[in-house]
Amino acid sequence: MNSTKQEYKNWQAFISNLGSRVTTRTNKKVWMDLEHFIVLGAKYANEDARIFTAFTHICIILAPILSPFKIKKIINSLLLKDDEFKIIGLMISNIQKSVRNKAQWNNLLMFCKEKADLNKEFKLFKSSSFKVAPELKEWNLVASGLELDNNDKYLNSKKMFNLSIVKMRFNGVKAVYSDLLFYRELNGENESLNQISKKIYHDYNSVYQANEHILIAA
Amino acid sequence: MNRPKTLLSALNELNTKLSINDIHIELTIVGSMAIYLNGLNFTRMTEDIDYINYEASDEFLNIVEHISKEFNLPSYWINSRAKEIDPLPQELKNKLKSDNRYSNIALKYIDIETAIIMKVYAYYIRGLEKDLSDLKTLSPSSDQLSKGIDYIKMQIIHHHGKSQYEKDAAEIARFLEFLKHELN
Repeated sequence: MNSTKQEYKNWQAFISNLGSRVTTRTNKKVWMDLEHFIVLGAKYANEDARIFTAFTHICIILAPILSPFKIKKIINSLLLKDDEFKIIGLMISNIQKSVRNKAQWNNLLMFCKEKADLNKEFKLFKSSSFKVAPELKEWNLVASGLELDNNDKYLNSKKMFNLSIVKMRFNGVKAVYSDLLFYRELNGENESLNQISKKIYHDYNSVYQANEHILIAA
Repeated sequence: MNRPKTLLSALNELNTKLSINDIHIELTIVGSMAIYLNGLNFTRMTEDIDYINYEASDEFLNIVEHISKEFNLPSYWINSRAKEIDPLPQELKNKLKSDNRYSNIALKYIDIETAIIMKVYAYYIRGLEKDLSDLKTLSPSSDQLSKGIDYIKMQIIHHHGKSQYEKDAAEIARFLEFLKHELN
């Protein structure tokens, strides 16, 4: 299996771990960095309207615990295409509407607007629409409406809040600590901090310090 | 496991529990699950089972709630929200199909053409991408699309009168053109 296929498979498994009701169910826990999952959604959620709706619900619910700094770092590392910038931009708009601290998301929003060619239309789900949903027009995305008034239809939120990374973040555990703990929970203790820091998108010094604190507290 | 299969497992459990309680019911399935029951080879998921023509008893609702917990499904995994669709397509009753796999549920479901007619109406009214996506899966003929348009006309006249339909007629004509272009 090539790396793109594996990445897609992991993304699908992780959205199921986050409680998606509209993708193939799996009880097997997979590791994926939370912010990496959000950015990869720009590539993979576009496959189907129901998956896109579930992904949008996830972005909105997780908005308060996501790190805009990390998301920007990941966007830069992934070399997104124009349509993917539009999709992640739309998700960041949704996130920004759901958080109290809008300023830190505003920079990221502006960054996406600069990167996306907003004069060029992109058809989500490879189809036209009789009436384009108003919230998509800002990003020149074309699709009909998404069912955003009923997340229970698309997500099992109990399952989502039981995922340890989500639980830790909502309990106020800082991103670098929760990311390190979540990584080790699913991948074991064998990898070096240097390797882990690259996979969880934190600088080595922060990961080293977090590891020291975790060891002391244990 | 694909969602329709999960829902059918839940329906099987519902049948078992109805049988223990000696309850016999008749359900008419509409919506995406009906499309699945028609054997259409679609891989995407459906979220729930929509039924019409059955007034749920408290016992039924209690069993449904119990199964939703057992199968980790939303509380309305099987629901009668579609009963609000009124009037139903004229030929619906005559074209119903039957599924005899359950002892205590007389399961009926709409045929593909009726599903198309109802999806055309749903997409016009709700404007949701998932309805358009379902229509693509159903790949309707021009004739079937026109029947869907007739159903929109019937609904508007029934609820809002002829004068409203006359106001909406141009938009509905554009809607038909859009569907023909997008789906044929």
